[in-house]
Amino acid sequence: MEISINSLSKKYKGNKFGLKNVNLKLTNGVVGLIGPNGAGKSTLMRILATISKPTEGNILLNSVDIVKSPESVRSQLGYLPQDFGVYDNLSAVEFLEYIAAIKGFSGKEMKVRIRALLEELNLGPVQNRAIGTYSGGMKQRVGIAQVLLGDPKLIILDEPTVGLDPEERVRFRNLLTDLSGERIIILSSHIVSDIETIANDIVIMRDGEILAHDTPDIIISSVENKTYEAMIPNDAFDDFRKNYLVSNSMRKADGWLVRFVLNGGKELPAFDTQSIQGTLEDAYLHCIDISKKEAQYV
Amino acid sequence: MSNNYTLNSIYHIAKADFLQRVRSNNFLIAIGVCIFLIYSFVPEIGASYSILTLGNYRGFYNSAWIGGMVANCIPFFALIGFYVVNYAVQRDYDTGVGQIIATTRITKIQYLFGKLNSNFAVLFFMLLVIGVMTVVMFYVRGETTHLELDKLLIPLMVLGIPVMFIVSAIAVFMDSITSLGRGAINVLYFFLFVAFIGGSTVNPYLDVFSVSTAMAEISKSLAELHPDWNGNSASGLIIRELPAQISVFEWEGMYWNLSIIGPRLFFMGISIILVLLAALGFNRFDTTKIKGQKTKKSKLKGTRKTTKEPRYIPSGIKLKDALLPKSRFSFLAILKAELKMMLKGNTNLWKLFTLVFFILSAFTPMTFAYKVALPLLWFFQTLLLSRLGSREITTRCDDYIFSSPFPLLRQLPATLTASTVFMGVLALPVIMRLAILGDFYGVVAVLVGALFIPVTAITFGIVTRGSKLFEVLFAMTIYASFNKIPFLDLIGSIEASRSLGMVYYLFGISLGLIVLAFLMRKRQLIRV
Repeated sequence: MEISINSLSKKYKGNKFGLKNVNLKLTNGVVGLIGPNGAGKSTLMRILATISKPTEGNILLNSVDIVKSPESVRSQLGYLPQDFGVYDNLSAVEFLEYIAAIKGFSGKEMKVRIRALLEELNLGPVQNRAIGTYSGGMKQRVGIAQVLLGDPKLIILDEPTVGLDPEERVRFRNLLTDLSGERIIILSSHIVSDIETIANDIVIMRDGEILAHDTPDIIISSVENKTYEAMIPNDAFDDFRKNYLVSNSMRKADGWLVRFVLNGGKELPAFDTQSIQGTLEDAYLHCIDISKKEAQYV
Repeated sequence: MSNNYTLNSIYHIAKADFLQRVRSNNFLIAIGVCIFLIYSFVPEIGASYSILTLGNYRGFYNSAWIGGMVANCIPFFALIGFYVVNYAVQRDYDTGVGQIIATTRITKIQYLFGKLNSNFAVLFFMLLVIGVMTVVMFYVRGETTHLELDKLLIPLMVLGIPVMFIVSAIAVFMDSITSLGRGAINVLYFFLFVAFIGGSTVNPYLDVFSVSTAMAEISKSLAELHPDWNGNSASGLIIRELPAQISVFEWEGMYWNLSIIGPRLFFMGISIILVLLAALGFNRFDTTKIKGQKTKKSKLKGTRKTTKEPRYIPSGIKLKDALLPKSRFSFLAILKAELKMMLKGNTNLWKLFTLVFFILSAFTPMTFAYKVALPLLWFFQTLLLSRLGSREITTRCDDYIFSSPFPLLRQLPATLTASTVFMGVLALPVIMRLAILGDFYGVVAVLVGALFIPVTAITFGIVTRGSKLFEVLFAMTIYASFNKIPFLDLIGSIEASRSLGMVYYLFGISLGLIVLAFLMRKRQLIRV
């Protein structure tokens, strides 16, 4: 399966862009979309899910334009929107049976699959309770279950880990790893570590544009020899944060243990610093920071 | 707590709520309905229907008479008004704003008075629009150009403001009793309304909706001016053949005295007491105290606290081992799912009403079954039907349902079919009895009604993305059909509607609405 996104733009009233000339080629595997709020991740996902139309460009799924023929993708699609609801009066089983019927699946195999899905997502014991009595995380898992009903070949998950507790996040990541294979899974998350663990392809977006698209290793290599850790005294901490790109900080007895990325040709600070291995989060912050600075000069 | 804080908080609750509502499409639609009604309620001279019927007399179309006609229609606006302003408290539950409000210093009384004020502000705005339209109608229909604003508008305002105030208070009262549920609120208000309409002539202190005040004044004046008048009078929309000879009399307007003003002040006082009583029972958004939710939980498997939770036995089937479902679309499966979803989560009160009126429609005398039991049985389904067209959007399921294969050809037809089948099944006893009596026009009319009502509900839901328009219009239609208005007879139970051939029009309109529903849903599917 291959998705080819060509010169895709989404323009709103007042000359505002949701997406600006996006070009991407996606193949089987897990694609992680990261970017700040308003970067265009959800807009891109909604267009891929055929519920929104671009103002320019096209998307080819195995050479078929899904903007012109949305039905060509809908039969292979599982989509979890960022902000979604469920029918509170139905139980998880009834709700999934309803969605399955809409998607064109019924019969004994479907019932078995629903049961297996609910067990996989740790909803087995509550499957006959009305969804209205579920916690936020449980509802999120019902949402994930509806995505996987018909073994879709294209899975689009917009912030799927919102509301999941750490244990459930691990379970979800394992499930995605099991599912990845002959399909494309696109997921967005603000939790970069979630993306880092699962995705084999990373797309960083900002202001409707693609800033980077590569494998995690190559993206992380952009902060190689640029990531450091330092112990900063309390009284110097505020100034340090203003001058350096801090990706993490931890309060200690004698000051702050700070993780930072050295960018923009800056010198190392006059504190005891130590070079460390960069992560995707460091690389992401670095990429966004460069983009912001470039935008200032334009 | 300072007075300043109290007034400020009431003002801001009222303001936010008022703005939220007047900026909605539903409010614009309600205003449109009011404008249309005023246009209809001031009929042309010689029209085949009347609003104030006085035997062989009619009023000269001056400011007082037109003002009197409009004031006489205030009950209609009380009916619409309730459905426009209800759910103000429930909305704060739904949106979660209530939880934020509950953590502030605001008291229950302040909050509910804020809601009373916002309800009243919305309805007062409606009254102002009606007032402006009344002036327009004076110039459109008047037999004189001498405008006397006081005679034209004071009846509407003096009689209308207390009515709108008490409607606002009733809405707050019912809305704050969260265990009632929306369906019960709608039905309860309708019956309350009908009861007060019935009691209006008994005692002026029961004329809550100002049904007979203007008419009584007009009748008194006519009797004094024309002792030969036979005393026959009726108000409300009445279809009639014009008498061969009709005399015109000139009414000078209302004579305001304590017997008119007194009850109005009394009703406003009662409104305040109603809101204070509501504050006593209001749970301040503590959802654990909502009786309805407790009931819902307790009847669900595995949630009873008193009984041991049934042990869950895992099936042991792994997702990767489960056979992949074959894609084989079954309309029957989706229809079954639609029916299940429609019937799930309804209150016990709804089940009771539906069962009682279903039985009544089978075993009571045919006239009652056909003309009363069936319309009421269908009326109880208002809330069930009104949410069908907007359900996907209001529950935020639209994104993934609309991105499923062929949503236009699968899901919408299933919803339309399921709701029509449901309404048809409810009408089965009446249909069978009509068939036995050989009244095949009646059979067809009821079947068309069973199609027309859900189709209207779904189409209005899709177009407005809400449920209120259908709720308002359906309540009015049922009320109008009880008043024997033939062109609002949905089941062919009024003789005049049969001679008009209403069933054919309704069938045609149903088909048109189905086309509209498909077109509008198609627009909703992909947002450009």
